[in-house]
Amino acid sequence: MLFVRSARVTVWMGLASLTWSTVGFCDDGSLSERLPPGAIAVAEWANANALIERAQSSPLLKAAYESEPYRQWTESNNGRKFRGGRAMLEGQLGLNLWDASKRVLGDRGIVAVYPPSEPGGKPEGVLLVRLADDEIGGHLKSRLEALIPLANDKIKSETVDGAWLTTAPDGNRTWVKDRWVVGGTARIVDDVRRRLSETVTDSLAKTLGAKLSGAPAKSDTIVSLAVDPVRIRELLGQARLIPAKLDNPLASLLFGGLTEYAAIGKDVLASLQIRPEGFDLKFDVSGDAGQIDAAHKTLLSTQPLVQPELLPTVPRRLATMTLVRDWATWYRQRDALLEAKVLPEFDKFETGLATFLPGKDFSQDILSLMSGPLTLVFAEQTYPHLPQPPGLQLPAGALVVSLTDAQRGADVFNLFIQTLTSLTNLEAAKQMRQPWLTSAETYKGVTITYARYLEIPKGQALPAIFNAQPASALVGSQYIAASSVELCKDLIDALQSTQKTATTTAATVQRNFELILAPENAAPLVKSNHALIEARGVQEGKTAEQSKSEREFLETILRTQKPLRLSTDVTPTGLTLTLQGGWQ
Amino acid sequence: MSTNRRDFLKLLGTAGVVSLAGPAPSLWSSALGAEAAKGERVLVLIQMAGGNDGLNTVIPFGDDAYLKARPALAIGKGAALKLNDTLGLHPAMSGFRDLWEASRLAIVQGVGYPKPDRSHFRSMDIWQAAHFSERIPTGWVGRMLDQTVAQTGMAWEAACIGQDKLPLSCLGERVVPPTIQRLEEFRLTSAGRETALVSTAAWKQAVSSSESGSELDFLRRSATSAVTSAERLASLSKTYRSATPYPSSRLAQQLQLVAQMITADLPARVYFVTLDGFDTHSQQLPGHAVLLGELSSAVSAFFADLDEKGRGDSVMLTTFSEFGRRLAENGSLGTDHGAASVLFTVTPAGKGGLYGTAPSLTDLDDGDPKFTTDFRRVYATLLDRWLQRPSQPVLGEAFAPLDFA
Amino acid sequence: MITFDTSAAAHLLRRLQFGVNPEEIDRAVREGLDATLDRLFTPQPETAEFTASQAALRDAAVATASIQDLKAWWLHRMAGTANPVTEKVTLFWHNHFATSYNKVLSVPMMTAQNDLFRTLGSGSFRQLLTTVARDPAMLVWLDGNANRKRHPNENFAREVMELFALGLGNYTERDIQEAARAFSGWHLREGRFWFNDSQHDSSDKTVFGKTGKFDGQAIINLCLDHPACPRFLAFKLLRTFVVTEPSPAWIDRVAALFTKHDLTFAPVLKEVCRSPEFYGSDVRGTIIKSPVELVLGTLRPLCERIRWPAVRDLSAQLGQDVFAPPSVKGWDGGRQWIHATAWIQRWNFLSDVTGSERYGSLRSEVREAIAQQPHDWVTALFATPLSDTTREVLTKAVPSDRLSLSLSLPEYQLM
Repeated sequence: MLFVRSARVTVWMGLASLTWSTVGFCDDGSLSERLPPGAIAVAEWANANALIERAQSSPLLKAAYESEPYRQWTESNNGRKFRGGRAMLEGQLGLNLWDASKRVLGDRGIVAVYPPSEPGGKPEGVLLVRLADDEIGGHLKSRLEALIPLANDKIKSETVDGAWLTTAPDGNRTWVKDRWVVGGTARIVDDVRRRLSETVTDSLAKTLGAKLSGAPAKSDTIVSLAVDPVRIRELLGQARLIPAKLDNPLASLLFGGLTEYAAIGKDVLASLQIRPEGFDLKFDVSGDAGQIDAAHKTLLSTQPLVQPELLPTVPRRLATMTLVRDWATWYRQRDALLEAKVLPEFDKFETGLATFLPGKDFSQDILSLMSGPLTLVFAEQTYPHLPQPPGLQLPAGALVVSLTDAQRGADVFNLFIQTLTSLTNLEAAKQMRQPWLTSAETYKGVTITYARYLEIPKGQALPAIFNAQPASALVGSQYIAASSVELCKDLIDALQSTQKTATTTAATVQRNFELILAPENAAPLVKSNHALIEARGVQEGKTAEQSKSEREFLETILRTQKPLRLSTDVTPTGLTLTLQGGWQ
Repeated sequence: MSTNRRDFLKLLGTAGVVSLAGPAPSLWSSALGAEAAKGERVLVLIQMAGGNDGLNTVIPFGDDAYLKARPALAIGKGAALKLNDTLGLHPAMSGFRDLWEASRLAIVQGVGYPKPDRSHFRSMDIWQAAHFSERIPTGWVGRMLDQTVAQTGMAWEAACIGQDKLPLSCLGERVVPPTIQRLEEFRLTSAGRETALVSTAAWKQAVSSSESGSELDFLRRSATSAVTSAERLASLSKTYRSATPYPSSRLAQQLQLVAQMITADLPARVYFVTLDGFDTHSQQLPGHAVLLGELSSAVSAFFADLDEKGRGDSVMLTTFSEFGRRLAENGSLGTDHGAASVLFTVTPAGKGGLYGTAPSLTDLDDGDPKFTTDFRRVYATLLDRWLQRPSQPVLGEAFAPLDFA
Repeated sequence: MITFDTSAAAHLLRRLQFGVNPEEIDRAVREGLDATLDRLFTPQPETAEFTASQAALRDAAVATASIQDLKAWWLHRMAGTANPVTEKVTLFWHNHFATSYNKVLSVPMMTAQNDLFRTLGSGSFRQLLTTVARDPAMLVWLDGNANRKRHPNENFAREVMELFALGLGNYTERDIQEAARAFSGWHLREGRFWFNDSQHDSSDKTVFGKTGKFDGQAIINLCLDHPACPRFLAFKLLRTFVVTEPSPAWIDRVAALFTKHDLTFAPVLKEVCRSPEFYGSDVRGTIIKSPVELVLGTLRPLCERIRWPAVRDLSAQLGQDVFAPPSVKGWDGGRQWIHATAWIQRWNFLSDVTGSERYGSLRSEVREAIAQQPHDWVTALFATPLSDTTREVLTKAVPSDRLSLSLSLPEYQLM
């Protein structure tokens, strides 16, 4: 068993392509051994039964079945149709759908796509499934063979060498024997049939199949995918399949490095492993780093990872996103990264900026103040600065940036905040809202500058604006701008703890991007805003009780969610994108 | 009878006849009268919201004080579209220049009012109410419509196109003009059936009798005429063709709808549309050019279309804005709230030209050119001379009209 | 002598609640006029569902401080309450003391004012006017803080006489100027009424021919004791609940009732509703439904699962945006509701009621009942007798079209 869970992190961070090629066959070899070589893409799964069983017994599914929206759906027209269709299908199969899927798909299967056999033809494909038990193949034949005549003799069904062979008019065929099911174009299906009974020296397992992940522990399900982008580009006669310039600035900033590697890379591999406590989805692109142009290199900056996450978590966190970029150079190179049609937006932005900082250049004078990571954090609030929470409770948000020149940087960012505060106060006066007063307090040796309200109305719930009490602080070279004092303090704690650990741990991973979502922490937010959420239901004609049960269902769903983590790491030859999640 | 009218009467078919069988509807009545509606004078108002910089619209390029006060924003002699030796239009306004050359563009200079207020809301209220009291809840067009129905029984209407709320100008004590966001909203929906129920013969039969009390009679009459109007507007949008291409701007689309309604002889006598964005505090040059270009191209397409339909001589269009901007530019390449400004009137052939006196750019009131023409004189012109409704009761006092109408 | 038959019962209910259905008519006829009036004018327990929904809607409005949410709360309350007379009276006072959020810009203040109309509206007008004069929303609305000793602002003083208590013609401009001085210093501070004595003019004033060092309350009392006050209230009551143009004689009779009940509202309304004139043919079916009457009066009896944001937006589009009357005069009502666009919007709403789920779902039993047993519903839907032609058209219509055709008739716009 090469797939060792505890080594997962090191396997995935680092020498990915090497790892891919050595993760090959274990006691239970890859089905790619049974496929002919030459595929341009292949995907294989193993132990799907573990996943199906988990889904079947998942508390989430149970909660959904018991929920009011589900009950209503089952009584609706669509719900009735669905139940009817399912009952018919189960009757025909003589099995319930859960058992049927476990017995058919629950063991292993592989899908591969081959280039057209003649120029100008369509790509060909094959599916090979190893059934979970010896009986299900015969059972399916006995149940389904009778249906074939309904297709007006267009499908030919015959028994050849003890196998059930069906052939469609277009030449696609399926072949079922013992525990094997093969489907696809006739040429490849026949080739695979041969390979199932004879030992053949060449196989897909020696080429693209070697890059697939091996079988995991019985309790885990794995789906793994390997694509040969070099062959695909060759076949299509195109130098690149993904354009160098994107039309969405945010997408470019987040994933521009990844798409560039995918566009020019030589390997694109992915795997999804589902374990009892969670899942990992990994996407690995690799190629010649020397081919990446200067503009895209600004998107591939990294920060060494010295602890599980770039920025330690804060209490009640809802989401964190960190981008490591070469900000100033990135902004100057935007013409090479983005389509011309989105560029005028930047000009408008610069014009607007000029009202804040006349005579300054955004890239040279502002972005150059920042180096590397930029983090956005959102967290639920407890409102220690207020006598009672606002009627509408919103999460607090914060921005953390690393400054090149701490004092100069802090000055410029503080100027933004002061200007914003003044503008807000002018607006507040017009609408008879409370103005903000700039105040300061010291927390763990750090000065926090924040806005407090001149007065806080007593009695009923506070207006939503009370969710915001902007605060800023400088911790070392890290500048924090937060929408609440509480989050600002939590971030000071987090950053101080990073600084303590930073010197002791050696970094092995070069992190480029990190997004962490913690839906379970949104559940209290749903609860504290229950009146509002339920009122939306009542406004749409639901009863109070109905709205309440829907809100409770939403809370239950959120509570069962473990954090979701999406990250990209830069390796010497490429980029690895990892999505990890968990459940209860 | 114009072909358009004939087309519409044909489209009305029997439905129109049934609706006329009862007592004549008081609303939209002119639309149904035979020749009465033909060529009725129409006024179109365009509100340039935000405070248009008159000095960069009709440019005194011959005046050193202008050039000196605006080192970055001044538009020079070379760029401006020359009106005479000292004045030129903003370079984006080629459509207006063509109207000028056809003697159809009247430019009223130095328009304003005493003790100018530099708040958008307050000043816009003053312009729309044509009154300085904070307690006047009606606008000048609304009061004119109220007085017209009270004195003559003519149910003149106004229509506000593309507004999300009724502009104060058009609000009267009794008359509340329709605000038609889009033509689609002035359309009967049929909720699943082929035609709206009120368009069926059965409905028309059911409302045909007139044997009951007064409230019901009123409802039957107004209902019948509303159905007729809706049907006409619906066929209008199906049959309306214009050889004149309109630009794709929002203002142009709204003016096209106005042209549609005018050519269909709908009984609205005043149309109100808005072009927003003139509050050019910073980086004025590009934005202001876009707005003036939008205004100029939309208005010139509108009149080309009306001319094509033979209605150009019965439509007068006037722009207004709550205030102009200061003479001196500010530090953000923009201009701040000012006072007196220019306004445009597109007038039937021959009456184009300059009206009023251009204010001095050296004799300033707190940094602003002093107004020379009270804006209510413009209203008096539009009311007395164009719509032929007495202006004094509307404006509360007598103002001497100008000669562009 | 009043014949309290189905038609009379339907008329009474139409005026005292939002729309009516055949069961409600049957019940009223069964119980008789007196018992029905007693029931309508006595607080009835609300259902648990209504109470819970109301609480959710109100909490949401407080939480978001959004006037749109507050509008949804009130419309839902008007349609769902077991005490419709209270809501009709609240709406009456909202139109009488017409205050708009568009200037007040405070949801808590608008909420408090609305509650005030609800709790005090059926009772003594003396207490109501006294309280409204110090109501924070009213102080913002009529520029209380601008009324200073040396710069009296006449806004409130004028409206107290013209629109709140006496009506035009019962005071002079000089009365207003003098009264304005009496209200000087009636300010708002920290969201509450505050008597700013440094800005109060405590010198002599002459109002209605009487002279004294009147303060604001004294002026209010002078207005309340003015003979025009009961007549003015009688006019407003009749115009809203009974007939658009009440006769002077009738106004006098109702004014006498107001005097008899010391300006207490509900007992007068109740007595009017049990007077024979109220059931006259010149009263029934003569009021053009306001947008709120039309929309709620249609949806409440006919529909379930009502979508309140759509209803709120529709009512505003039709010209009655609750919490945002066009001016301190409120909505003019009557024929002013009707113009070409309004007709189209009204019909489009009514056709959506039967043909779409935009505003709610038509109750299936209503659809069936109207197709099969139209007679009961004709009494509920129409406040005015249908002509023979109209009856014939309705009879000939395919049953599935009957309801939508009925709603599209001009007769349906009357109540």
